Amino acid sequence: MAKIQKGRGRPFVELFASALNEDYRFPLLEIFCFLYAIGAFIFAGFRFGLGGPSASGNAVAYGLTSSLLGFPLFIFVVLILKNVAFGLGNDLEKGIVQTFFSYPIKRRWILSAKLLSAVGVGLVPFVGILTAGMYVLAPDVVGPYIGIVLLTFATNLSEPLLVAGIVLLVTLLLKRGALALVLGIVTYFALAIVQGIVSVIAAFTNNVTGLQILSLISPSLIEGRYFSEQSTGPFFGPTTSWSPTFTDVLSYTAGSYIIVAIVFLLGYMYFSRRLNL
Amino acid sequence: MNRWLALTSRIGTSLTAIGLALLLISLLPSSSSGSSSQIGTQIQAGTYTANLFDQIMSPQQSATLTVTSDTPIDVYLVEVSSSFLYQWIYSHSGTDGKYYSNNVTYLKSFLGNFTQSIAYSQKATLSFNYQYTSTKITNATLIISNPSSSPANVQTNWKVSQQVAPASRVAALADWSIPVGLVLAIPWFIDLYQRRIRKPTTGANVAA
Repeated sequence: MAKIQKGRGRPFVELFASALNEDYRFPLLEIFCFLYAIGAFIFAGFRFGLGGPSASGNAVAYGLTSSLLGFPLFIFVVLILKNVAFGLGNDLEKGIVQTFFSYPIKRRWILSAKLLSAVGVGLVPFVGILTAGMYVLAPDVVGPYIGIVLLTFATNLSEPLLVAGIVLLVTLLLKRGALALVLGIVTYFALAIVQGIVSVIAAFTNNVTGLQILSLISPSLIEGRYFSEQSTGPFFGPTTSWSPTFTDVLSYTAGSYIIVAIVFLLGYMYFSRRLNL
Repeated sequence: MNRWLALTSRIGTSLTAIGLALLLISLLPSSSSGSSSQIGTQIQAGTYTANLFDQIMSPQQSATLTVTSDTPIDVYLVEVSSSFLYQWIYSHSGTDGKYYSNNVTYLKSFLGNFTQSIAYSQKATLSFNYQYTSTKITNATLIISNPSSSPANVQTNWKVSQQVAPASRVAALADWSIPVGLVLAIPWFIDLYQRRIRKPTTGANVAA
């Protein structure tokens, strides 16, 4: 039994190490770490604290965390989309995946090794450096409200992860990465534009159905609404028909991750059963 | 190179990159466009004042406070507003109106109850100089108390400047992370050096 486990583990480690080597060539990881560290301080803001110390600690922690997740989140998206589209796309194009299929390991573990390197390892410096940077800047804001900080990361990351899942599916279907990468970046920006349009519609017509549906894809919308009691931006004033509770925020976040999981599951199913090379 | 050594080296190079970013942040000058004030006042014997500096501070702001006096004074920087201080004293000292006299006895009672709110203090001093950076969004109030039996002529200067991050904290982290990162990356540097040395030999063999 132990022999079988050892046999399964080693090819996985080999694949994982190979993917890491491919995804994070020197000095790519170092450049991203540098940018995250700079971003943790340059983009930090205390907009929810402008009302003074009476602002709730949760709101201040949310405001600080969300202020950071602009540029650093975008470079994280670029990194994971590059890793998923080019990392897997190149392996498919060059026939390297066929070599992987000859390894004594199930197909799903091959994809897991690739995704763990592309997304999982990319997440560690992103969340770690930004959280540590915020702690250095404002320990009494981050320390007691670490739950809100992590929830804000979770709500903001579900949309990039969904896009990564879509890029994975497109890469597998087309068996090439470049087009999937372009599609991923376009989808990411299109979602941002749709969020703006839906928020305007919600503010002017008081119809929040679109906003509620979109919050399932991007729960940062509902979290922002919960903490600020208004939609995103100066034009998007509060709509009276929807005041989400904290439980709603948690439910929508869980819902968004279920959608992300379904998209990745489709990718796994296609890779395991239908991918013919 | 051994896989674990390669991993350690990459952690080292990443740590060095983070350290360099922190060093860069610590070198950014703070903005001098913040508010400032210079006030001269007389504090009567056995009284205190809390009206000279009272601001809402964020971790991206730094207050430089300087107080000089001709009589030994006690200086406190507390993380509450002056209105909270006066209201607390009013509600805890009865309604005889004595709180208007700003008696130091009431101040001592307040400070005894809010020890956790004292960010910094210096007692029986003629010169006070302190740079304050908060770790959260909070009120900051400067209290000058004159417990002696003669009036004190006090000169107060304060200046609030904007900063990206607390330079001293960030610089201290950079001072640690850069050397630690470089030490961890030593195997990678050695490997790189050895590959550079081997390269011409391989080239000559190939040519031959």
